[in-house]
Amino acid sequence: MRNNLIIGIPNKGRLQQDTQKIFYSSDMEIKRGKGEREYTGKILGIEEVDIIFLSPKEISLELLKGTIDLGITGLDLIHENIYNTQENVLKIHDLGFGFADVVIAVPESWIDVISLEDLEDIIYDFRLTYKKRLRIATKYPKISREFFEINGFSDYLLVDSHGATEGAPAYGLSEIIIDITSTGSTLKANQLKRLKTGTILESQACIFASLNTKWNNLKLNKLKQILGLLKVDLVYISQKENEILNKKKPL
Amino acid sequence: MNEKKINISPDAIREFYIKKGYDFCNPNMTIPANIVMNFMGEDVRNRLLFTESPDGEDLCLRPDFTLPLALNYLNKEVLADKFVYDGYAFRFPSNNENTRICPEFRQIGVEDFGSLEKIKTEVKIISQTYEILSKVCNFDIEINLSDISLFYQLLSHLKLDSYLSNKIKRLYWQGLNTNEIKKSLQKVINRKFDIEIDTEIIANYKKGKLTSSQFIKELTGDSDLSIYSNRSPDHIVSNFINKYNSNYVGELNIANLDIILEFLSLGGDLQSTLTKLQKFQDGYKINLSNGIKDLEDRIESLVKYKVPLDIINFRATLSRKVEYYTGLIFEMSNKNSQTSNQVAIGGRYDKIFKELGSKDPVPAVGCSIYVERLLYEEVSNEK
Repeated sequence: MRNNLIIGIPNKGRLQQDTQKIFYSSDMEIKRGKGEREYTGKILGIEEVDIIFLSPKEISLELLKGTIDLGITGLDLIHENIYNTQENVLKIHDLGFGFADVVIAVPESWIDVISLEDLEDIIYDFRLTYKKRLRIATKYPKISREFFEINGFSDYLLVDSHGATEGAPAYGLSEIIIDITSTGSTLKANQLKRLKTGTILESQACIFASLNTKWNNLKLNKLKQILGLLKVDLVYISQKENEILNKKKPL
Repeated sequence: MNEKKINISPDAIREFYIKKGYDFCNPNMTIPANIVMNFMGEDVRNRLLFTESPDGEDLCLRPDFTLPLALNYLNKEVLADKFVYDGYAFRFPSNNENTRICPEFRQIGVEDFGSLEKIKTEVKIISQTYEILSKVCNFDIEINLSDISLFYQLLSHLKLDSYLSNKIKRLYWQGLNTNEIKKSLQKVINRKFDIEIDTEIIANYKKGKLTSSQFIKELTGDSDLSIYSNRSPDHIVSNFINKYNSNYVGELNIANLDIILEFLSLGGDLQSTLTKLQKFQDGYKINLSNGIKDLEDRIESLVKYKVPLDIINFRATLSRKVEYYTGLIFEMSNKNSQTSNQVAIGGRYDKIFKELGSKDPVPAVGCSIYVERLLYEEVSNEK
């Protein structure tokens, strides 16, 4: 199996459906081995390619380890789970689905906070007034910290939140949140609003290549074949091939 | 060529302080992580070494000695008021750190808690640290100092909106130079609070026809709003109206900006700084007399304790990225260093005990010597 090109694909939910759909419409039907509970599969009609079904987060981690060659997952998870992203993975192709933004959201009642600068005022004032730092619930601590560092903020505390982050201010876990949103309706339902200039990352599903795996001609050819079927521009494919060859680490 | 040889013995530094009357102490190696994070902020998290107590409390290895020692003092786990410590603190090096690659670093330092002799205590620590460093180092020591309370007196005199005043303090604590501060403040001047509102709502609020929460609900169009995240509606509305009326920006007019920048560019030897400060005070009719008196007393005391004034410079923008300093801030470095590393830093932090939960304020002055930096400068100087 290890000589074949191994692709990590989301194991459930909307990302899996959209991945299957886009592959199917490009003449690549993804087939699970023995049905929905099987975690490996094939692309019908393309030899020497193995599919492994993983959660989107696991896909980012396996790309980092180099146990899969390609992975389909969200840009947000790649940035959150992989330090020195550019040294470890290469974004090959935007897939045009799974659009969502990682944003800062504050209570709608905070009418005096509409921009990042306004938030900076409040964060500092909060510490002076309450002798503690404003808490931000998020499942994106790395992305959040990097963003605030660039913008010169340090007077806050991050609070881990692994689900229902939008509810954190309502039940007192945090004052504000950083989370992913596509339409904003969940934020609105929880009395939260996005900040102007508070978008940290615009994310979508992409194909990523691991730079920590052994790339050989067979794998590169399979990658080119798949990208060709996805109608990716030939010049672009060749450019990505060169980038993989130049950036991959000696194993 | 320098005739001195490498002769730094860290142990000798510790012994020197003990002979000067400081009690040797070994503060706790671990400290509750939330206390450190509350003091130092989120951006330090990646540099700390975390662990967990058997009952699940998040702890971190001490990132410095001041916080664990202050906690020990507050909990009456130590009985003296003047301490010397010598041991390892733990923090991953920052990107520009060139004297170490490992997270542990040795610090020898002193703390004086509770002394009401403000200037005497400060100058004693400066003079003792200068004395021992001059003895053990093969390089010339230079001292920079400032006094944050002088800057706060100026801001208080200008009567700026609290958010604006806080913004300026933040820029100061980031350790920016005058030009960088100027750029950032100009951005503040140009900043607009971009919102449209029916002015009748404000008028009704001012007439008392609307409460603050009604005002917020009117403005957002959401009558069910209930989440304020620990801020009072009154506070939110008052800040909103200030910003809407451009008070925030209006108060930082060009004249005030120039005064702030002129103050921050003050510097030089202590005597000339004193003259400049007096001129500044008289010229703008701003009362800085407390800070000026402190500087006069410090100069007098430095002379008394035989610290040469020609190695000391005042730098109004001298700050540290930890905001618990409340007055004097100083640093000592190799005068001819190729690096920007200070070998010793210190100052006054009277707020620290209050923030740790003490009912009464406790004056606190301290200084810490970075042993690896000292050795690095020593070796560099030999080359």
